[in-house]
Amino acid sequence: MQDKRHAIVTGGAGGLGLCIANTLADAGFGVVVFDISEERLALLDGKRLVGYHVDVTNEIEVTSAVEEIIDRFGTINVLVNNAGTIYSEPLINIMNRGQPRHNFNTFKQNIEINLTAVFLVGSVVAEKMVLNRTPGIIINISSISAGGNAGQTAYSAAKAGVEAMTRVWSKELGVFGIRVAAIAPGFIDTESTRKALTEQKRKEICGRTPLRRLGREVEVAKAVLAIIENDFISGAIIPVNGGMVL
Amino acid sequence: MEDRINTVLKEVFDLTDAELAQDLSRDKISKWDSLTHMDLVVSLEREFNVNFDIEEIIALDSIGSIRYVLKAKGVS
Repeated sequence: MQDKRHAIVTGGAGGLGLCIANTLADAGFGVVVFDISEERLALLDGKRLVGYHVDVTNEIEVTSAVEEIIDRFGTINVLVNNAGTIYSEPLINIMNRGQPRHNFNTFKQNIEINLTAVFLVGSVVAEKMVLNRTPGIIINISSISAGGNAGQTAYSAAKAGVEAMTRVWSKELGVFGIRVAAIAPGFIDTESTRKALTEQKRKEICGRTPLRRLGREVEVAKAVLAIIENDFISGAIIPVNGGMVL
Repeated sequence: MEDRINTVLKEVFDLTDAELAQDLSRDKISKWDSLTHMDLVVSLEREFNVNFDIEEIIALDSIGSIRYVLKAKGVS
C-alpha cells in the first residue's frame, strides 16, 4: 500500500461507513477501517479494506492504532469521522412516571460516541498530519438533526458540536494545508435508521421530504468523494437530505 | 535576507516599521500566538522556498532565530 493515498473511515465495517470505505477504495485509496465490531471486521475483504478493532472513545486505542497506521503505511491523507449512533429520547417524557427526565447517563454516552469520539480521532489524526506536514482532509459526518430534532437532545447537541468543531478546525488547520468539512445527511436508508424508526415513521419522513424518499448510502459516500476531489472546499457543512427541513 | 524577513513579519503581525526591532521576539508581540506562528512559518517557507521541519518550526520564535535557521538551510 505504498505510494497510495490512505484514508481512515471510523465505523467503517458496516452500514454507511462501509459504503464510504468501499467508495474510497474504488477511487484508489488505501482504506483503513476502525470499528468496534469484531464480527463486522471479520467480514471485510482484507485486500481492499484493512480493519482495525478500535473503540473510538478510547484515547489509548485510537492513538495506538493511528501510530501503527503511520508506521505501516507512512501517511494518512483523509479521515472520515463516521462512527456514531442515532439515539432518540425526549428531554421530558411525561409518560414515564418513574423518570420523566432524560437519562443523564444516556446523554453522556451519546455525547461520548457522537461528539467526543469525533474530537478524539480528529485531533490524533490532525496532529500526525501537522507534524508530518501532510496536507490532508478531515470529513466529519454530522446530521440534519444538528439543527435541532425534537426527541433527540443528545444526538442533536452532539451533531451541532461536530459542525462547530468542523468550522473551528477548518480555520485552525487551513494554514497547514488541511481541509476540514462536514456532511449532514438527512434520513438515509441504513440499518441504523431502520432500527431507530418504525416503518410508519419512515413513511411519514418520506412524505415530508421533497424528493419523497430516504437517501441512499452511496449518495452520502459520493458527497465524501466530492469534498476530497475539490481542493477549495473547507469549513463547509454539506447537506445531503433530499431537500428536507426539520 | 533581512529585508525579506522584515516584510514577512510586518505582513503576518501587522507591524509598522517603527515596531520592527533587532531583538523582536514572540514574547514581545501580542499577536504572535500558536495560530499566527503557523502563518509566519508558511509565509517564510513561501518567501524563501524552504520547508521547515517541526524542530525548526518551534525554534522560529525571534528575528534572530529566524535568521539563524534560514542560514542553516542555505539561505543567504
